[in-house]
Order: sequence, then structure tokens, then C-alpha cells
Amino acid sequence: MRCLISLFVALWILTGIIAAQNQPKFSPAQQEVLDSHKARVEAGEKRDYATYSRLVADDCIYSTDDGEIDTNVKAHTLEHWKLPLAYEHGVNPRDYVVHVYSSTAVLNYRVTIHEQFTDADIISEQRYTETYIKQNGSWLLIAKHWGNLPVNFHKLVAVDTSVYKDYAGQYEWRPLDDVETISVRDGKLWSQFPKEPDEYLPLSSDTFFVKDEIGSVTFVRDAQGHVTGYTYHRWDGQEIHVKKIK
Amino acid sequence: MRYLTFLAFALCLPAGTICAQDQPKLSPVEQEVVNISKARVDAASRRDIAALAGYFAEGCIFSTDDGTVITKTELMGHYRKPTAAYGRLVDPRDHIVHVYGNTAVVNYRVSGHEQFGGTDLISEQRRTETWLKQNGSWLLIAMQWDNLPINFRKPVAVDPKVYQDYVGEYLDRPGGDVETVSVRDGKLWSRIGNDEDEYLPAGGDAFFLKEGDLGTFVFSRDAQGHVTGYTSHRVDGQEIPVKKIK
Repeated sequence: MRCLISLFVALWILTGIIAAQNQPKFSPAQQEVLDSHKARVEAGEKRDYATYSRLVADDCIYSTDDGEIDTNVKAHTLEHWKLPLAYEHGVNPRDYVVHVYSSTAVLNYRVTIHEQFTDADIISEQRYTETYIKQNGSWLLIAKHWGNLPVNFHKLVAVDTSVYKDYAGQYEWRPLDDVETISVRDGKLWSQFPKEPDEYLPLSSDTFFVKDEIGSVTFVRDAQGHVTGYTYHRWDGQEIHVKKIK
Repeated sequence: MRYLTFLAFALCLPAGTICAQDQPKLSPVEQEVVNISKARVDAASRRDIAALAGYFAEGCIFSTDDGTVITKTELMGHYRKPTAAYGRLVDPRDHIVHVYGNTAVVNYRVSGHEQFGGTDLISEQRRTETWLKQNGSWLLIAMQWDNLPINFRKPVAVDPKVYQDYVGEYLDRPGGDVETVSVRDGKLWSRIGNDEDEYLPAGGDAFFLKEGDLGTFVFSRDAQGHVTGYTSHRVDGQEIPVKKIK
């Protein structure tokens, strides 16, 4: 695998912020799990391998945001700790969910990851699931899985919004799916499935994206210039053709 | 959440395919965990909602491929919709199962298929499940799934003579891994450490990888036409400039 950049960032979440984020509603048992999580993060910050190693099972499974699987995480952590701490760090851990079942616990949370390159600060919003077991009175990490949330950093471009009215109408992805209603309001283009609306942000006069999705839509016209639908371009090069039905 | 396309995948795994993928080295208890996973999938294949629900703890944490966390009630609600039939999972593979007493973690890869009219949208996924044995039965208490970066873009025809311009060494930050770009067999290659990937042409000075990174890599030139580096354009719109150092 080519890009291992996010492999160990979870170890470096700024622990001071974790404390601030801890919600008082956690039970003592839940707080114990969070404390183990926090201690492991602190060990990463301090490059304290002895503490880190005590909190992580030797055969712990890491399932990374690029789909890689790692069952030798301790050795790889030591290798990765050679890089400067500032290169990868997490901030604002939040949305903690902790479920404890006697000597088993699962923890889910979200964190913002920053990766420093020579001329770029790359931001990734990530979601983690961690599994712990209690051994000899301590919570031990046995598995961690993380992935990226779809956050779009593309910058919208200025376009002539008078063309937006051409796109207004109803669109159907496939039979039985919720119908999408596209409308113009306050000079902006909106996409609404039954729930909350998303703004279509312009990349050009006929191509748009949504802030919390990776991918884009390009409206399609017939020979007479009437909009007949759009092509949804997924992040990986696959496409879905969506029909305008009204 | 706008697109729920892959939410139901966890439920639609064809059970028959699991056995073929089982690794012979599994211990009896590891096999037991795989078997219960298979039984859960059987229930899903039959769309036996009541049986299926029995495999999930009431508080099971479902951490989805779009970064949201949903409850058992929400997942079951989604599965009850007729559109759930559009999605299916095939070829689960690369299973890793670790059992610690009454706790088990299972990680595997699987291919998701989602039908949109004539389009079959494919998602390669990695999943981590946490199982807990209670009263003699294994119960799922957490599951996270995310998409692997597999690129479906098609390379375009270019004159490979220009590849020589890109040959050299590249660095994205001090202390980072040096990337060696070379030409072999008329193709352009990127090597970082022991990992080598082909740069597939997207046209002009732009390239992409088949997997591991879904971004586009655009080589940059100075006024004399000499290659000075490249910019990694991530699919989310962020950019990482990388310098040619040799």
C-alpha cells in the first residue's frame, strides 16, 4: 500500500482536548474505557512505548482508512514514531459512544486529522471503532477500524446562476428510490430528498457538488438544450445516470 | 444522510460463499464465530427480519461507510425497505478472526454490488465486527465498514516517450519517504519503499493509480518544460504539492 499516512494518527490525538470532550454522562465503567483510550493516546504523544504496549494486545488488528489490514501494529507503531509528531495529529475528538458489556467494550468516535506536508495541511474527518477487553483489571485494545468521512474541499466557482432554472424539477435514481427535487431558492441550487436539503455548489455552469459528499453531478441536455437528467460521478470513476422525470 | 446505498450490504451476504472462503487454519472457536456470522447472513438472505434482528445486540453500533453511526432500529428499518434488494455483497474473503474468551473480532474484505438501472456500482469494502458470547450465543455488538480506494477510471492513450520527463525522485516533506518514479516496459512506475504502483495516464501530465489512492497526480513543469514536481489532487479537492528532488 502506497499511502500509510493515516495509519497511526489515532495515537496522537491531543489528549488535553480529549479530557475537555469527555461527557459527564459516562458511567464509571465507560469512563474506565475512555481512560484507557486516553492513556494510549498520551503514550503516543510522549513516544512512551512501554505504556502503549501495555494497553494494546500483541495481535491487535488495525483496519485502516485505505482498507489495509495490519496485525503487527506494535512494530509498525515504533517505526512510525520516527516521524515528527507534528506531521500527523488529531484534534477535536468528539461524538464518543461507549458500550460496555462486562469485560468487553466498544468505543466509537469522530476526530479531525491534520497531516502536514511541506506545502499543505491535509484535513481528514475520520470515524473510529475500537474494541477492548478487560484483562488483569486493565482495558486492552484488541481491534481498531477507521475510515474517512466524505467532506468535500472543492471550491465553488462563480457561474451565471440564471441557468439554474433549467435544472429545476424532479429526478429519479431508480424505481422505488426517493425522488430528488431540485429547485432554485435565493439564487442557489438545492437538492432535496425527503429530508433536509443540500445545496448544489457549482464547479461549472453544469457541474455541481455537495459539501458532505465526494463526487459530482453533471447535468445532461438533449439536442434541443432541455435538461434530461444528470450523471453522478462517483469518487472512484464510476458513474450513475439519473433521469429527470418531471 | 443522502445516499444509503451500501447500508444494507451487511445484511445481504450470500451465505454460501462464506464456506468457500474460510481459511483451513481456523481453530474450532474461530470457526464458531464465522459460523454464527454465516447464520446471520442466512437470515438476511431469507430476509427473515425477526431472525436477523436476533443476531444484533440492542445497542449494536453500526459505523457506516459514509461516516455516520446508526442504531439497530435504523438499520433494520432500512432493511425493511424494498430498495434494500438493490444491494448485495459477494465474495467475502481475507478473513481474520481473533477470539479472546467470550469476545471475538472478525475482519474481512467483501465486494458490494448496487444496481442502478443498467449500472452495477461496485464497492470493495473492509469490515470489522465485534462479537460477544452471551448465554451460549454470539451477539454482534459493533460493526464498522468502509470502502477501499479502488479506481475505476480508464487510462487514456498517450505517447509514452514523454514518461522520461518524469523520471526522478520526489519528496512531499522532509523526512518523508522518497518516491522514485521510473519507466519500465513503456510504463510509468512509482516506488515508495517496497511498494510499487503503475501511474496510469489520465491525459497530458496527469496520472492516477489503480488502487490505494483515488487522487490525480499532475506533474508540473518550469518555463523551460523541465518537470519540477507534481501536485497530488485528492478526490476531496485538497492538494499536496510534491517536489522533484533529483
